[in-house]
Amino acid sequence: MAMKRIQKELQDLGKDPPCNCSAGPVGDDMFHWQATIMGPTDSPYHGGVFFLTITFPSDYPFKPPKVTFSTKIYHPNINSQGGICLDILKNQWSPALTISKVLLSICSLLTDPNPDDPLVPDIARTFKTDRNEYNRLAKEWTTKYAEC
Amino acid sequence: MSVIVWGRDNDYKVCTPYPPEVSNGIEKIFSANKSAFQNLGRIQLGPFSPDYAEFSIDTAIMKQCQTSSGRRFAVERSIMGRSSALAKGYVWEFEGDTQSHWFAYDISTMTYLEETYSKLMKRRPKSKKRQPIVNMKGHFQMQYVIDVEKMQQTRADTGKVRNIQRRPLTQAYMPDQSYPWQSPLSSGTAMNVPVFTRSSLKRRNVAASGGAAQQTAGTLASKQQPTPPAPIAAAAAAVNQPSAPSAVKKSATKKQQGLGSSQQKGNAGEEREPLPLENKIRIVTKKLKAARPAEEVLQQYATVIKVDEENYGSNSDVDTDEETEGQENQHCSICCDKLSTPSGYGEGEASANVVVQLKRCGHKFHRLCLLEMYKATHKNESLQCPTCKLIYGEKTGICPAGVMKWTILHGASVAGYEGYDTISVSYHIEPGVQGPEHPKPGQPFFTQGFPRVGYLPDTNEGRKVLKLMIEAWRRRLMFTVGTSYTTGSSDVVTWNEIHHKTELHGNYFGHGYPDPSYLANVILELADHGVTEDCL
Repeated sequence: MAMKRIQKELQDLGKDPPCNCSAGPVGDDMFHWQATIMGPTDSPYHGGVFFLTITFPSDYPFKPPKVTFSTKIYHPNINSQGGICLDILKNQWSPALTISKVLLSICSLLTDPNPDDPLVPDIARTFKTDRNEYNRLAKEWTTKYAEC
Repeated sequence: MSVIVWGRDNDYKVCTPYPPEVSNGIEKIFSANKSAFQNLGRIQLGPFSPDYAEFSIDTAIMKQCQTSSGRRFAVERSIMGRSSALAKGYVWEFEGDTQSHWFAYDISTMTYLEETYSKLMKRRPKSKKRQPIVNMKGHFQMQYVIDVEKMQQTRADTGKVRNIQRRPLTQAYMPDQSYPWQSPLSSGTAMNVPVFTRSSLKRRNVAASGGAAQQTAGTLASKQQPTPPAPIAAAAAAVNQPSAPSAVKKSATKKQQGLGSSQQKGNAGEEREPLPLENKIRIVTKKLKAARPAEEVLQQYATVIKVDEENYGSNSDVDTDEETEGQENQHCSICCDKLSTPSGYGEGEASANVVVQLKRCGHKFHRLCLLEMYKATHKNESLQCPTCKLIYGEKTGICPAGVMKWTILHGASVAGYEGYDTISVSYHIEPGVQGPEHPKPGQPFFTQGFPRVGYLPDTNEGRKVLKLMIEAWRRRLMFTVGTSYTTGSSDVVTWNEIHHKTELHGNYFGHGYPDPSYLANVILELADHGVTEDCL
């Protein structure tokens, strides 16, 4: 049944693709997707294209998909392994959420980091105390790792 | 007795303590200057210890500078609890490449080592429960497995073994007995409290409401907010209206905003929110009672509104009134198919056509979809609407057995609540075996970093949060068992999205004060789990 719902989401993504995001299966395995997010214009990630991997659990949509960044990114809520600290990917997941909505939430996290619940304390500290330095580093990483 | 330890970041960006003579030297300067500390400029560390001759601290940016290399590392002041190695008068060290040349571990690794070591010492020698191994793989990018019995550290990827030691300190760290530098500020002193605009509420709504997420997420906050489900609305109202009598309203509001208030605790006439009666709350995990059948639970919360295709649907050309047409295009948010078509669960069966409506929020789903959702959770006789997250029944969690304690730290204040005592809340959970409600029944689960401690200001609002936290703990909602996002390890006990401020002083890991919106946010997080003031 998970398969059917995943196929349905893929269809819907084709019909009504969210802006600045795309997603789809990597190969034949419908449970393993790749997604891209274009850095939002009002963020230091602008100009970058970020790749993410998505793995669906066998009991999807009752458990959240595993979503991680494969492109390096300088962000207080995303660590060096690409792990994302976002409540809807954890206990605030709901079966009514879709990959499309998850990607939109991640876009919003790029625009508005949450330094009070950091995954990378050091970046959170820079974000809070020296916003120019944070913007500079985030841009630098974007140019270095995420520009095509 | 807790001790004050100054340290600096190492290459892994975790704090390594200075030796006592250096730490105490810095602390003396710090306590003599208090808030003027950051204007001092450079403090040379050479006078405290010849080993630090080429190091200095730039107090304006709180970084250690090395004269020869120009390298800078962040400097931190920590309070180490009495059960920590440093407070007990010991330091954990590993041997460098030169024999008998020892280096101190970082503060956080020391905590793990000391915890494991003291457990090992407490247990009987032949007990099989002894676990002398501390696996630091995944912590702060380190790759070590440390054995506190053999006193050896092994690097997982290279297999390189180093000796380690728990060495008695020759000099004690400065005790943290008073908080002279935290005396209440005189009125009119401008506090340097940064104010952050939190974006979590915005994201919460994107997350919680399917409808809202269809908008561009970034602009959501400025557009209309989706109507929050009842418990959240109630909690939000509670935030805005101090429940204290009108006489104290003014000061309560001021403190709530986390402005450095000059009001002293216990003002004449101020009515305090009473503290909870118990200060030690144990939860035990009993065998689950024979749960009611899922169908029966569903029946309690949802009404059947469509039995088969003849009542409405694409085949019927009689029912063409507006409402039916609307329903025809409605989707079940669980299977993402139209409600007029069968549920993906149980295809071909007549029951796949049945549509139900949740009684309070009115959202509609295929009955089989909702049933499948209930069965996929631990069957706790409560149901959460996938669309609006309204909770039916009492939501309970899967937190393993353990003890929660709280105590008042007199004379200690968190930043932003100067002049108030602090409530310290601690949780202890022992490793064990996963029960039927857990992801992998029968497999072991592990614990990391327990006891875990959180801090709340002892204001009326703080006391209210404490009571709600106790209720969340009773309902087994405070922790869960799964994969840790911080360390990546699986089958561990992790926080369950009810955030705690785990740093009493400073904000080194980003989980400390000041955070003016913390209390309001945690009340919303508790409400997300169905824990609101109405429950008390």
